[in-house]
Amino acid sequence: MENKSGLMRWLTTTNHKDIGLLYLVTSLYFLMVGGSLALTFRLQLAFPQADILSASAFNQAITMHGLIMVLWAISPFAFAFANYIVPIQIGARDMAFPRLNALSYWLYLFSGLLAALSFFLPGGAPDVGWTYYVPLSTPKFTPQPGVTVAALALAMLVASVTVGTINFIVTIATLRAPGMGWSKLPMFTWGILYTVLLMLFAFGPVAAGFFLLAIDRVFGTAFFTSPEGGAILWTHMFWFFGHPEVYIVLAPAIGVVGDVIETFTRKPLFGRKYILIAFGIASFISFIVYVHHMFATGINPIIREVMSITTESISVPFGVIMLSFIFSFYKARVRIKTPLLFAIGSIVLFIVGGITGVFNSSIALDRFIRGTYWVVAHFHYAMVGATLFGLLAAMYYWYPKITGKMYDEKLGKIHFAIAFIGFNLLYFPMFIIYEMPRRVNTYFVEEWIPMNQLATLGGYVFGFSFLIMVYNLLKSLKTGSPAGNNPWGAWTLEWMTTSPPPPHNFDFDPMISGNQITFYTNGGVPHKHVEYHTMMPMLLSVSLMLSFFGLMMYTPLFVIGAAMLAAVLTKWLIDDVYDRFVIPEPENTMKWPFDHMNRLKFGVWMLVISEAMLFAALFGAYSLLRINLIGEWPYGPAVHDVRLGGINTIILLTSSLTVVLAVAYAKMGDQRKLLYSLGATYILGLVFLGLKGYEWMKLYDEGFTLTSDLPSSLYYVMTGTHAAHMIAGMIALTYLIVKAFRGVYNEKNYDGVEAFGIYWHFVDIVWIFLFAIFYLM
Amino acid sequence: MTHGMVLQIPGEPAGTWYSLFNLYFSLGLLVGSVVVGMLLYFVWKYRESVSNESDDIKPGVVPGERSNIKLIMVFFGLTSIILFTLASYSILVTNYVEKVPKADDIFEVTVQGFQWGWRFIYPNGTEVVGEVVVPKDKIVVFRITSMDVFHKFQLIEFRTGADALPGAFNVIWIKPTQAGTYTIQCYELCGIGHSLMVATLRVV
Amino acid sequence: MAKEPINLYVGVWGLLVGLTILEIFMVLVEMPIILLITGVLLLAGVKAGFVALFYQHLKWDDVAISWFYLMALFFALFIVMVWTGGSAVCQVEI
Repeated sequence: MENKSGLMRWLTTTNHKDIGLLYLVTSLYFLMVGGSLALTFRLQLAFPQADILSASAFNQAITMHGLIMVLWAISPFAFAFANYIVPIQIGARDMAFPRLNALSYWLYLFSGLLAALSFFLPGGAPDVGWTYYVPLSTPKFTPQPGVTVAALALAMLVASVTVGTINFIVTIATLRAPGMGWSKLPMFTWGILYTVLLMLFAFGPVAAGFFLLAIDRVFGTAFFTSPEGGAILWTHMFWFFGHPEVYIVLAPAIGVVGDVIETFTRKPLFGRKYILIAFGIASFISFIVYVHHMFATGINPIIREVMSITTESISVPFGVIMLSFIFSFYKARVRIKTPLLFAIGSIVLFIVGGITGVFNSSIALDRFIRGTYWVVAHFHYAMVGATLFGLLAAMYYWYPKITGKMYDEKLGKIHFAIAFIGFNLLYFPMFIIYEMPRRVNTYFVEEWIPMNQLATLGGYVFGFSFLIMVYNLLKSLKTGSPAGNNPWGAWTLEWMTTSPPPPHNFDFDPMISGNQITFYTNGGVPHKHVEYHTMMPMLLSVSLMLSFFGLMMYTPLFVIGAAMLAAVLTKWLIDDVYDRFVIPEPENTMKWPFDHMNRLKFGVWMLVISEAMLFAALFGAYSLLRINLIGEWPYGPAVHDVRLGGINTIILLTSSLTVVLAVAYAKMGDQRKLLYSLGATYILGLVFLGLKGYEWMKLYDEGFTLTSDLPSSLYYVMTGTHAAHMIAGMIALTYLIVKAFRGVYNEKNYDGVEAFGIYWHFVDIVWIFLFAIFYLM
Repeated sequence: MTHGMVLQIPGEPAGTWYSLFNLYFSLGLLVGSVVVGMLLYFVWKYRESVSNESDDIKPGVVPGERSNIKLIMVFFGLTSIILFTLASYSILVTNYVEKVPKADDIFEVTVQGFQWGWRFIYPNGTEVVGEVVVPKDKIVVFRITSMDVFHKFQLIEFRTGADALPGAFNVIWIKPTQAGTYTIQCYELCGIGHSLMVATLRVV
Repeated sequence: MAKEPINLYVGVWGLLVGLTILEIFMVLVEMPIILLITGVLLLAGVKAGFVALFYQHLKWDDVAISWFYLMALFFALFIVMVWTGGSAVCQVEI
């Protein structure tokens, strides 16, 4: 295909390095937005009873600061480098799904813009805190549309994250160069791998939470306003995600620090294997500690005590990681360059943030500390200190690779000094006035004034330090000396290609034999590069943003957005029917332990896992509300028609049989039976949905409506979500049938049918449980 | 209305809270300084201009493992011991803070958080907004709930608090030993009046 | 899988349908609610297991995928247990 230039290149690119740069610019933009908000409310806090921001404006500023920084700035900043560097580090030509990679980016950009748009709506941006605690964020207390719009923006971001997660897992697991076993992966790639594994399991529940909240806000259900534990339900749904999110943000930075230490100490990382094991353990534990955000809620003391202990114990693997990092400097040859300074800064700030975090693991201490500036200081040391400093190390470390130019070392060191001083000036005083409540726009205690003023001063110093960086990096683009391929003498693969790398990363495919990285000679004929361009990911994201915005603000806009969405999806599928976007499955790559996986099947499996987490949270909400319901939960068979439900279950089970037969016939090369099986699946799916619709109508006539009570709301939302998944499956099925008509599926090529089957059976499994919990008990 | 750093402890559980906090603080400070000190010392001692060590990172060569399982076990053991110490004491204090001490004479106040203020209901049914008066040297129990959204009822000087949740009750206790005026404030964002959601605790 | 186990697939389908009918039967005979809930959830688990094992080909596929599934299952059980156990606010004894 043709090479595009100018604006069109950026709108249509699917190259991971271009997308990495898009992420970089966008995340820096959001970092600036979030930072400016912070500087504004720091100014307000510098003086007691100041009148710079009204209470409402202040709450909007802190809410959007938190949301933007955590979700739209710092994590995407890490994914800028992940996109650019990870495929090169593992010796791949691109991500496993380049087009979906573009989709991740565009969904991210437009979800961020949608969230920022809420500032300009009547009532302004959300002012409920980034944690979106209910009942405050339900319409009774915050009726303004901005709260809903930002929640929908978050849903869109979750879509972006899920697509990205799947893409990175498949890429790292199956596209490694021959000989690159897991033990030879660079630390940064490991960091990103842990990040996406955490994302895979963490984002489903929060998506479910915001989904229920959006339904509460748009359709008037009462999941979070009910006294049956609505407020507690939200804290569970939010913090199950919220705690792993800290490690999601942190893990890439730990990876960067590992690579940077290795390069600049000129020694292998100390205890690398154990660092990785500890990292894995910490990632797992991070899912079973989250109740420490809820110690003051007073829920079940046994659960709180257990989570208090798991929280304390998560410090052990992190202790091993940090001490190993420190011992990497023992008997080394330390080259003190800007990236290393930021890496050391990251370690020091992480130690402070980690130790002060241990305080929060104690229920007795946390009963007081929760909601104070101690928490603010602690998590900023972890999330800004450790993470942002680590990512700034990445910025300086890979700048020569990305631009081919060397930055100004002296300015880099000055940036580090000012940033480090400014950072500590900003957050350390918060430890001293740890009694102060967070999220207050005004205070009356005189003793708190000096420390607040110091913090504000520090904030401006810290903010200023970024101007030095931007100046340095922009200036060096023009005047920097050429960096060469490997200015740092590092060993990893990204340094074995030109700076900046060619579009296809390597002229000859890399491989590792023993410890030596070598390249296939391929008879001296370099790789011929093909660029893929498509505007569909961008258009799809725009139409989703339009329809979400229209849903809340202006119905015609919703109609336009939805129509556009349908058109873009159709175009996307038509492109695929005509094979306009086929990237051959790479050969010889290291795939263990996923040897039987092709990209498509593996991708669908990962999608199924993330969907499983979403439904897990919905089932969790169901069981919490059912246990807590004041009064009797209606006996399932008394409300629902068990026989009809049973027939529908059997219909869906039969459709699973026809799908699995379709896969078998595709493998056997029996085109006719394949088509019959797929067609039967389609008809069975339609019958299921039809019966479902009939049941819904009947129940509505009986007064069992979406908003009548909690059991009915849960029924409609959960079976409705299931039905939506079925409809998505039917769309995919339509595409399969068209392709099967064209006779593309045979003994060698049945991936599409098989991947669809995995998804369809998952939807079937979900229904098996829905049938049990709603119809039978 | 002002209150400052606690110079004198107004009663329990603040005293016990400080003993726990001080343990965490001193161990944390010790560990933090040793670890950061070690890092900076290594960086300085082995800086390139004076280091005699070899350069073991070669472009295009995957570096080998450099580790020492004994040292890793030491890291593991040390962090475990420190955290075990902290956790055990924390559990003791938690049990103390979360269980109302047995006493014959308990003064019980129901607290209702609302947007934006605190209502106190005395045992005799009297309702007061904004100020609660409790007796010295007696166990005082607060039964906390919310009339609307999530709040957090915080007795700043007494170093204790609990979330105020709609539809549920949370219980905390104090035992004031110093007469005086103390501050109650909301510590969970609850809307535009959050910063002003304060009340007074008067111990007589 | 040179030869496709079509008979096995049909057999599993028969089993799934049979278990579904058993579930409905359990409701119709009106057994104690605790027994019903346990039984129904158990049967649903068995059905889901069969679908995953045979229809989603976990039996023949890379074991690593099963680990992902088990992990999600673990978190699902964890969520249900902690959320139900952690729903009621504790009432401190006075």
